[in-house]
Amino acid sequence: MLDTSKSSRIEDAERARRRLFSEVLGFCVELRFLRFRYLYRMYSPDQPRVPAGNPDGGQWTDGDPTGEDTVIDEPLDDDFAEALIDLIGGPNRRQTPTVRVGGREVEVTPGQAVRLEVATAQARAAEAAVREFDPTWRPRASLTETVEGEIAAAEARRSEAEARLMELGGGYRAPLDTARCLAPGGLRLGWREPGAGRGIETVDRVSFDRILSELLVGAREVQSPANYNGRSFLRSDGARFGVRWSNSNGPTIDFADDWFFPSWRINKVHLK
Amino acid sequence: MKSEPRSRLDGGTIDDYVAGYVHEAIDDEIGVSLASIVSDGRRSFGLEGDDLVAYVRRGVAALAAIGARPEHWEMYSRPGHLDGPVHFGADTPEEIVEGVLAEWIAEGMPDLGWGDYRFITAEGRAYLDEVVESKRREAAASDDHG
Repeated sequence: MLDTSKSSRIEDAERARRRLFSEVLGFCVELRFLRFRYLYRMYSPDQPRVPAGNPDGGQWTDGDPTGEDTVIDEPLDDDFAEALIDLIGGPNRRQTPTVRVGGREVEVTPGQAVRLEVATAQARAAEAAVREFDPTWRPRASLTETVEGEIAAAEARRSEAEARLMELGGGYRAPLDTARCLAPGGLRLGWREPGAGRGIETVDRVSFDRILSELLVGAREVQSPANYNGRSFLRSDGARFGVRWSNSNGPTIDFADDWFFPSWRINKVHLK
Repeated sequence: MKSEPRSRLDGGTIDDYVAGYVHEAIDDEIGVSLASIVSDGRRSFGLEGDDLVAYVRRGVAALAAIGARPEHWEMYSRPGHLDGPVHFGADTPEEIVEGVLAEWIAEGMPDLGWGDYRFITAEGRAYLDEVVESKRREAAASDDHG
């Protein structure tokens, strides 16, 4: 028998470990950034330069009146950038997408991972709409062995739920405003990772699924920007968002516009 | 003595915000848009005029200093901002900072779109190229089977 309290404690401990790791990571990044500012000084157009004709002409100096000007450095410091990238494991930290199919983890392409996220969220939203009228309804179970089978099964669940909804006379469920999808009842669902930029909200799997399912209700898929590594959608309230597999953060929702709340804003949601 | 500005939104300092742009550009392949920097300066710090320009300059300088380069993503950008990298002279960090600032000021310092001046690192661009190519191949394969 599954010991749920033990399992829950393990999950709590894992979450605490991840949170602590993130805080240390964020602290390290901030330290490195402070060092960067100290060493190179934030670029200022008023900062003195070594005069033209000097071998270091044009470079930034500390403006030493003794004439012993010290060249601070070129503004671009490859060593610093590389050290920072190593430190936070940014673009080099590849997350190969994996999904669970038939009880085992399977590697998939980023495109497949996004299609599965979207298909599953759409199925979940349709099933939830049916259960508002028929709380005991369940879609037919299916067994799949491939990710494409898993995507097809999610799409079938969605179709089945939509058909059932028509039978029940439910038909159409009004989408929530985007702000309510992101912060139901004004409650913040996630957090900002230490060191992360403003607007980047990190949430757990339950909240990610909830947000994506709500966003997709009534949303229409639209053409994506040529460079965007995901799929784009337009909501009935005009909100534009995209779903992609981020190289270092996994499933991610991007918003074309900022969403402001009392003490935070959101333009991107990462899954932790 | 003039105190350091604090964000109206969360009390953060300008340094905190700029550090966040650097973190985001390194951590996420799609980088950071100038739209976010302008929005933070304007809405979070309540800056306008020269103060806003100074704030934007700090953000852009930090991104240019780590090697991030600006590009427009036409679909979510201002009219006339065509898809592709935006070049300024020899694309030194200094030229990028001055070039981006000059263009934005010449346009009247507007709020920008998500696709305007996205600062993307070389690693981020390499990954995006791979994924876009993979998307193209998947679409072609799907057309062949359809």
